[in-house]
Amino acid sequence: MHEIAVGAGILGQNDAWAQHNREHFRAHGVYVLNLMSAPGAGKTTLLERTVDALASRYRLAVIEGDVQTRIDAERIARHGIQAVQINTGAACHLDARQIHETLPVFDLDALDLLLVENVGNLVCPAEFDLGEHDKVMLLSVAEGDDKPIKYPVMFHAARALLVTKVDLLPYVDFDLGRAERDARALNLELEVFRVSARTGEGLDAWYQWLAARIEGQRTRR
Amino acid sequence: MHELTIAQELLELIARVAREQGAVGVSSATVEIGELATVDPSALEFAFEAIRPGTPAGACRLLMRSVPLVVRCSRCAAEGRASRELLCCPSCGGRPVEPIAGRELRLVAIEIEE
Repeated sequence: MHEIAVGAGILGQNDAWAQHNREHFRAHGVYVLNLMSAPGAGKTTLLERTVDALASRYRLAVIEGDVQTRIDAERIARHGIQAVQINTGAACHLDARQIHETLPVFDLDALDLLLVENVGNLVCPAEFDLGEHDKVMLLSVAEGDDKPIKYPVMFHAARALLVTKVDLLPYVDFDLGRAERDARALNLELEVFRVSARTGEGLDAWYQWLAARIEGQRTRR
Repeated sequence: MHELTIAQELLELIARVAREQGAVGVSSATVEIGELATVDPSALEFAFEAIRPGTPAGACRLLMRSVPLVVRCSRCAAEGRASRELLCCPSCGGRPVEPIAGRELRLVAIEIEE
């Protein structure tokens, strides 16, 4: 009996698939976002608005991650773009291999932006790199302003935070200042957008940020 | 909740290394889990024990070591232990801080039977 030193990351397989995805995305010049939040924060509704606003300027597609059902992909497809559903079964997150297996469905050369909606969860998706360029978090005002300090790993990893459903602010005790202060304390470079997909408030700033990121990726092609 | 996925990946990794070494069995595996890794050790152990039968690690003990969270401050550049709850600089109290240790999820070593 003897000891063998290994020294390998347990999620090394996932990281290798993620790297593979990253190379695909770079080679085809497509900008990829990983949208993460708790269930019900409004990821799919935000995507519907985003698709409507940007589809005339950019070529978009969506990957939807859910434990079960095709509801979200069907919602997105009604907006006239390609949407592919991944059902994770029991798993609480998307992994890089699932994304890799989905990629042949798309003509990546014909895409500027691929939006990946992760499974609604504030813990697990942070551990699984998908090969995306940026992670974006959504936090709805109905969830409470303490979420950044309760789930720091997710907020630390995000490039942008959308505080969603701000039209509900008069009806909930959500301290915008506290949530944004706590999130920025975890992550100095975090871009924060206050939005309502229902009223359209704040969405233009989000579209502009997204357009700048897409353009940035195009020029690196 | 993703501990089952991690246990599966871990068992595959152990089996691969054991195969490369020509081992007949694996008696233990030492794993490092960072304080900031979103992994619950008892859930990982439960999942590992539930799915190890029938693999080369069928009788493998899982030895887990916690790796303390060490951060570097963006303001004063100090390095040191930080609490997972506060995630601030142990020296000046500033934020944000960058974790330099504590996100590990690694298989350190296995003990094999030849």
